[in-house]
Amino acid sequence: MSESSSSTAGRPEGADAAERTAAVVLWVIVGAGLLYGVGETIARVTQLFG
Amino acid sequence: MLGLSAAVLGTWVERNGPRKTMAVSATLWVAGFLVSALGVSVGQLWIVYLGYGVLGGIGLGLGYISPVSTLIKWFPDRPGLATGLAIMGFGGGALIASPLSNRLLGLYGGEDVVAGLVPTFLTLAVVYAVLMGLGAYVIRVPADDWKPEGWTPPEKSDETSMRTTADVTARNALRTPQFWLLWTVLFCNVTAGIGILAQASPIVQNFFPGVGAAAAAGFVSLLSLANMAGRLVWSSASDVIGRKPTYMLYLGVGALLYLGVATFGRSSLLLFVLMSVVILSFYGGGFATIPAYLKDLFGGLQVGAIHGRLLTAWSAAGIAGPLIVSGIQDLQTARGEEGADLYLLSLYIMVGVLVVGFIANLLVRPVDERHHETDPDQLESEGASA
Repeated sequence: MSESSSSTAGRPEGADAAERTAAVVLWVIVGAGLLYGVGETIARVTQLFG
Repeated sequence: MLGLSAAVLGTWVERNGPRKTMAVSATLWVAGFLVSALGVSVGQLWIVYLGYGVLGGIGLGLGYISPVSTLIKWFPDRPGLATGLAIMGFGGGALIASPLSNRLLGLYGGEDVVAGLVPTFLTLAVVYAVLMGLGAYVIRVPADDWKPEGWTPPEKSDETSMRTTADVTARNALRTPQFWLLWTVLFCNVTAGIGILAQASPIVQNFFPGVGAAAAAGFVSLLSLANMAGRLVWSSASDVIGRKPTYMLYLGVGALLYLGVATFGRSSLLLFVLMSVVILSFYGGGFATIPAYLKDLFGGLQVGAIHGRLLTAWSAAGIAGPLIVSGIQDLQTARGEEGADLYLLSLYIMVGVLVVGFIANLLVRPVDERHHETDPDQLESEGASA
């Protein structure tokens, strides 16, 4: 997909950069959380067939 | 509360946009945890109900529907993928929250779970405040002229796939048979799935007496994973195979799988688990595909509000599904049945429920043109007044 002709066009560059940083931080936390959840699930599933 | 708040506040969400909605959702959800912590600390159960049930439930409903219409706008060419991404987050959250909550309870309370409740509620409140606050901060609605590169919006409705280029307001959607047919479809799909999911641990232990509590917890976790994965996989697939055929798969093959579990599920644990995993993937897929189905039939104008109203089917199913399974279990216990026999009748009833949903889906046709909005000024006033 191409870049959005964003509805936020005209906003200060600093605001965009802060939003991008926040998005990256969010994805890192959520990604780590998902890895944790999947890891816990796999550990439990091994008990089912163990 | 989740379904009711989504239904009542759906048009408010459309009017105020996702960022404000997410901020309110985060506030209510976090407040729910704080109030619950207060309720536990003063030993008043009603305060816990008020916090976690009422405040948290309203926050949950708002948070559930807020990203749906926004993501559909970002992916107009692939609404199934968009809604799959949005609804998958809900399933993924459960996958994280359950083990995290258990770990926090153990960390703070050790053997005494009650002693760990208040600090666990408070810790989760902080975690959710940060995550949901960040989510509200970064979300953006695309510009009106946004479209994916190389994609041209269709100029006229496609009768075969039932994808309309027209728009129907949330108010008018309620007057169409299509809305109520989809309500029935969602109700049946969720009733069947939630009835089993709520009793998954005792069911697997009764079908296979050698399965202990820890292994049964593994089974429940696996179902949660299937539920989450099904949301993205099946909903994305619906962009290719069409929404109606996808629900025929969920409900038709789902019914056959329930029948399989009831008739020869006891023969093999692996087979039982595999069938259950597919069933739960259909359950998750049903949640995720329904907003895309609504977008196809009613257009994107107020799809979030229409989706919110349709979620009352989830509320009703959340009561009906577990009631059927636990009610029949009690009945069979009173009759002296035990083991897998406690659940066989429930499974056969779920087959019937899915068949009803299958028929409702078969009856879905494109929305009659008389429900379409043609006057832009009227659209504006609908949005403002709703």
